Amino acid sequence: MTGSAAVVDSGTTAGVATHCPYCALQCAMTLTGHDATGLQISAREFPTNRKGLCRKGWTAPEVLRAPDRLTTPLIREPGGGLLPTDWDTALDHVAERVRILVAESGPQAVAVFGGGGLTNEKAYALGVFARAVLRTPYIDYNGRFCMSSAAAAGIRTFGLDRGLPFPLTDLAGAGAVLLIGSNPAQTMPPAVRHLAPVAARGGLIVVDPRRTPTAALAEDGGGLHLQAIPGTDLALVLGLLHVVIHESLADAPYIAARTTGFPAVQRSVATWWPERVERVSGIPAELVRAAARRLAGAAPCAGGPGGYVITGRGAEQHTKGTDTVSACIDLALALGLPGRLGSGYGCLTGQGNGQGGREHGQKADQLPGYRRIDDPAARAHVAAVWGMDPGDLPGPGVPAVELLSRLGSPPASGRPAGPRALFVHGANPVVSAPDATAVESRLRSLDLLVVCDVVPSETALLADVVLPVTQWAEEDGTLTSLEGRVLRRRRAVAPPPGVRSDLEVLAGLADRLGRPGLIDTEPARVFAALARASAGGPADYSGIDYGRLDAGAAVFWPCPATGNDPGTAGPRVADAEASAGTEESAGTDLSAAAQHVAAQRHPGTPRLFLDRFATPDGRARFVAVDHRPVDDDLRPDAPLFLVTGRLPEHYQSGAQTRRVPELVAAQPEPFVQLHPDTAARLGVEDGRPVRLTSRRGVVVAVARISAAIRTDTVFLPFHWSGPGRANTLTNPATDPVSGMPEFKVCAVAAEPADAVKPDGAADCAVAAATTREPIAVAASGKAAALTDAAWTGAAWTAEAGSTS
Amino acid sequence: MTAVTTAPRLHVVVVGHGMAGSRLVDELLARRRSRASRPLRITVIGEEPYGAYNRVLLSEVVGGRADVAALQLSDLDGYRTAGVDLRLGGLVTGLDLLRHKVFLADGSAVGYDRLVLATGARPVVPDVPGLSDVPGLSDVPGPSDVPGPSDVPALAGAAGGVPGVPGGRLPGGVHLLRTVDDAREIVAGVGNARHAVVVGGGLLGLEAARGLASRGLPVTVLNAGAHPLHRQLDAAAGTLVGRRLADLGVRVRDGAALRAVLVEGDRVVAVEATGGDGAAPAGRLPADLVVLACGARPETTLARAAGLRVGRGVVVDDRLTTSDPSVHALGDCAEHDGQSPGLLAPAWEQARVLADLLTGADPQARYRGCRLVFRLKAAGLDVLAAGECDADPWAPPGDGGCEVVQLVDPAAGRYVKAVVDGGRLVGVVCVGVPRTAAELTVLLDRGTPVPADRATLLLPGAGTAVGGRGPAVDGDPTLLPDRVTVCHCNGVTKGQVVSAREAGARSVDAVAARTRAGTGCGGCRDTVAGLLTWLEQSDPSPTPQATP
Repeated sequence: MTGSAAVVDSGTTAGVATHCPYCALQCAMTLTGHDATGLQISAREFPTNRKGLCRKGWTAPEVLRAPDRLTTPLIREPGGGLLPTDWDTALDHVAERVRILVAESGPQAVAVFGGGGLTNEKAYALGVFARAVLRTPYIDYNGRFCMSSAAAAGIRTFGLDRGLPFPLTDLAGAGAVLLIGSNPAQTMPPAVRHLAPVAARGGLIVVDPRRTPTAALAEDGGGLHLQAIPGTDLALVLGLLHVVIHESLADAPYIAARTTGFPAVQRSVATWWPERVERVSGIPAELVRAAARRLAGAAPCAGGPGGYVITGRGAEQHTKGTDTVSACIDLALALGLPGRLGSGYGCLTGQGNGQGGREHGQKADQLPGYRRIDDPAARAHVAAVWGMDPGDLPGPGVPAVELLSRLGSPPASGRPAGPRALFVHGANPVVSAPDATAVESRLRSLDLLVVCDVVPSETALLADVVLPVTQWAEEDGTLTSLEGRVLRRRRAVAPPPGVRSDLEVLAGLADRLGRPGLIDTEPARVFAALARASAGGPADYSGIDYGRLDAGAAVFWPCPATGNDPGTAGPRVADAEASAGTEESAGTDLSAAAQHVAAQRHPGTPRLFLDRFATPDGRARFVAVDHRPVDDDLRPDAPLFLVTGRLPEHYQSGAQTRRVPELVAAQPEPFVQLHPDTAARLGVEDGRPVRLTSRRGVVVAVARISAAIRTDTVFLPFHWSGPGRANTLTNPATDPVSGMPEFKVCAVAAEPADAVKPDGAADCAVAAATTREPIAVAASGKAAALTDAAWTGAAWTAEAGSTS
Repeated sequence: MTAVTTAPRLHVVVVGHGMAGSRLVDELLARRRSRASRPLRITVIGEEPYGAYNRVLLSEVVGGRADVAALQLSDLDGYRTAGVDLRLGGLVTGLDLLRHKVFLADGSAVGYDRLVLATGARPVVPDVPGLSDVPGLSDVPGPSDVPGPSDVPALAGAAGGVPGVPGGRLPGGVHLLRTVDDAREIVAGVGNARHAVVVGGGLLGLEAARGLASRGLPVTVLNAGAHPLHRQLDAAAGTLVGRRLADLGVRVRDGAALRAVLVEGDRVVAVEATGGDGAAPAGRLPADLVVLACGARPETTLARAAGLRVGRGVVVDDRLTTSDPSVHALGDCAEHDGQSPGLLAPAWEQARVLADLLTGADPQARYRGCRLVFRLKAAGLDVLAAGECDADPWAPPGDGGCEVVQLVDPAAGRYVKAVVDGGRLVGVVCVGVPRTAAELTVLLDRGTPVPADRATLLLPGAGTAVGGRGPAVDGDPTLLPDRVTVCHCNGVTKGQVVSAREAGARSVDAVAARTRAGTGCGGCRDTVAGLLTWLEQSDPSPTPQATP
């Protein structure tokens, strides 16, 4: 599209200072204009994006203008379509159904599924709604699909999980950065501005089965690309650690002073010499050695400028994801990186509030402040904030994949009946969950599915009740970015008439379900409650309020209250907001008054672990792990690895970006990336449809032939539903520690899908996958009332669902 | 957890605590958590006083790429915590298969329900003057020039059954390379040495030679075959290896046999060898550091004495069971299907199978043999031989013949031979092509289909494309066609940049403001700047006034 100009805001533009609606980089932008139609974006100077925005960010206003934007609650007719209704009717109906189901089957009959894109306030309120209103243990969220492995590994070594325990800007000074399973050049382009200087000095080392633009950046600068076989990152990292130990590159004084458990790790990597790693990973032994030496040469103990080990979903979304991250952390510890200025380990968080979303109580085993729900002290503290008896707080629930698999299930041996009702906020599991066909079937088996969304997502189309809610530029709130900094999202335009915020929805339901007033509808007050609930927890926000953020403070958690904090944020908000909207760069341009206040308050913690780790003895714990094969490994009838991932033009399940014309024009359809040799062997031609078959299902998408991928691997982006839905193929087997499903690798067969088959469903799939026109399929069943607006493929779900 | 077990626990006694024996113990302990697995009582008897260590890396210790202090494999404290009865430094003197007893040198006896022999292999010491007159070292005469036990069964072993290091009986400066003490002594000897001789041109010999050379020592290898690694490589590959070794400071004398070790005052001063080619005749070579890498022989003394069936090694079936149903063997001491390859991968696979069987975790587990992969570990010398690699390229397919593709590139020191049968890679030889070696090993191990054009096996990824980050041109952005994407983050083409300039954008920032080029990762800003410079040179018209 010809689009709006790319305006860079130097800080003087009148407008609303907020952040991008998409990923965890949370690029700063300024919005001008009075309504959604006229809204203009300019990039704003900010440490993380440094005035950069990617294409998704520039076109974000289009999501506000989505032609099928939901503006009225919908209730499904018995056996029919979704019909518009008013809010009272919808909320009364939901409350009544919940009451009946709970009366019949107990509080465990209701479950809640949240999202890593929800603001801190929404995530917190969702936890309150589940634990204190519904009193169900069943709450988890799609962040389980993102950050859980890195979180689990971080906690077991450092005692604390914050994606980046240092500001992103620190990376630029490093001598080497080892990036494992991450492709920021495409998933968060402005972040590359911090990696480019490292790449330019030959210090970027990228592990990826594809030669992604990030891998190319590394190699072009004289760095290294380790194009490992999918599912072998763990062996590779153990090999790097082996070289570090055996070539005496480890930081012995650091290991002695700041860690425990090194001998077991040394033993466990003794068997991972580079030639053995080569046989498992496909990475030449000398390249393993070169990578280890390059990283070690940057370490402080070698007199280097500093080194980082960074993981992404490519390393984490495996049944051994937690162990893989542990190995990465062990490598960083052996080189003395974590807890040192200019060095460290971190993971790049994916979703917009993937960090905050995991801290405030929508995780199955956690209460606000990143507290454990099985910790009696944590339960007592949070119960007091919520005005209830700790004994009435439910215990731990189950992680996302298990939660979804239990939905609507009858009682089985050793296991009670699964939940009969589900609330979904900020998630689209019909597209984003592994083995999505099975998930779809579980959702259909529910007695009640309530979906709060902005647009008719594929999941919303299956719902019994759809509640239209506000989105980024229409609401206030906070998000915690990938570096643990708490950021203000600000309202720039009024939401369409008829739309309510998630907070209003939850408050309305709480009112009807016997806890009136428990959930506030004002984001600043919800934040204040969240801050109180988090006080004393690992992710302590109690020293933060809207006033402080709006005054421009750069606050990274933990930030405990010091006694100088104002009692509530409420009265300060209006004043602060009146003067806000100019800047929040790094706290350097604060007014004198604000600085005076700030001086007496906790400054927040940009860099964690500099003095001690968050373990009882203050030392980081080495964790000895071993490599193991992937769960769904290659077999003769499925001889290719499937890896899934993101494209620069789309985001997650695509519910937002598939509604942005410019992004759709640039990347209109799902595709299968495969190597020319593989394509030649299979007889697949570029641009022609390919059929992929895994143990769980079949996908058809067009071929894109590229030498940038391994010959034994195919890649499928996961942003689409319908015949090209990647998660139809993926494996729901989970990591035993984190509950992370093995999105990133499973075995598939591939074949040309050109041949016309006698059975019509496949033909339809081929036709749908090969045409570049918007699809408007006459929907059947549940989606009937929405077909006019749902041109983006939302209707595919109904179609595919009815034929599969 | 309190497990109530009524049945007496099966007592498993493992004799030998090297890489195979310790792996078995680790596998047995790992299965404790599995519900299907039966509880065991485990006793381990090891001859060396240490816990198991990584013997594979001893040549790397010589080359300075592995740290002796970090070779430890077994977690002795963990074993004790798990209730394993550890008897390190214990020497087994005999077995009573009828009464299920193991006798130790200290006079004690240990009963067993199941006995596992993991006694490993013993390095061969050539029977030549200077070595054969060492007391207790040699009692069998025979030629001593072949680096392996298989075709010369009558070689002398470093026998004697005395604990500790056989090399201790060798003349000063002469070493085996089997134990961590051997490796330590070799490293300690390097400092005072001036001429090193390695006897044996196999994997261990070449690794040791390369390691010594990397410490700056002139090294000569006495190699019995016509070229280095003659058991694994054909003449072309072997010749390349010899050349590469020469570049690295290792002189190989092919067709050479050790005749004598000359000793003065209990220290080696030279070796005498026969053979060698015309250019490098053998003869008397000064040597103050000698490493014997002449192969190893399965250690079967106990098994033979007890009456178990022994061929080259202790004969076992697919369940790793010997001729006595209560006795198993694995690792270097075992012979399965006529093979005792002396490699680690088969030993570990055997440990996995035996652990499944002993614990009952998988009663159907069987050892069916392993594909043998020979991979040289030596800096600057990439050599791989694996699977069925001696196929004849000219043998007709369908008549037992396979497809063979080869790359012979002596000038670049490269050689690849890939053997394909039924659309799968079945054998591979690689010299000097690390990436090919890595890819082909994986293809061989996983049995995934090979490319339709077999030639692409030879140099996989040779034509690796740009992943799409930026336009694939170096230097001159003016060569780009208009439709090429300049800014991938924002999908901006060269044509759009040109149009932006025509509309008045004369700086990178101005182009960015109009097109968003360079506002994502910022990586294309140089390209945009280059385009603007070119446009400026070809069309230096002033900036239009009406700039929005």
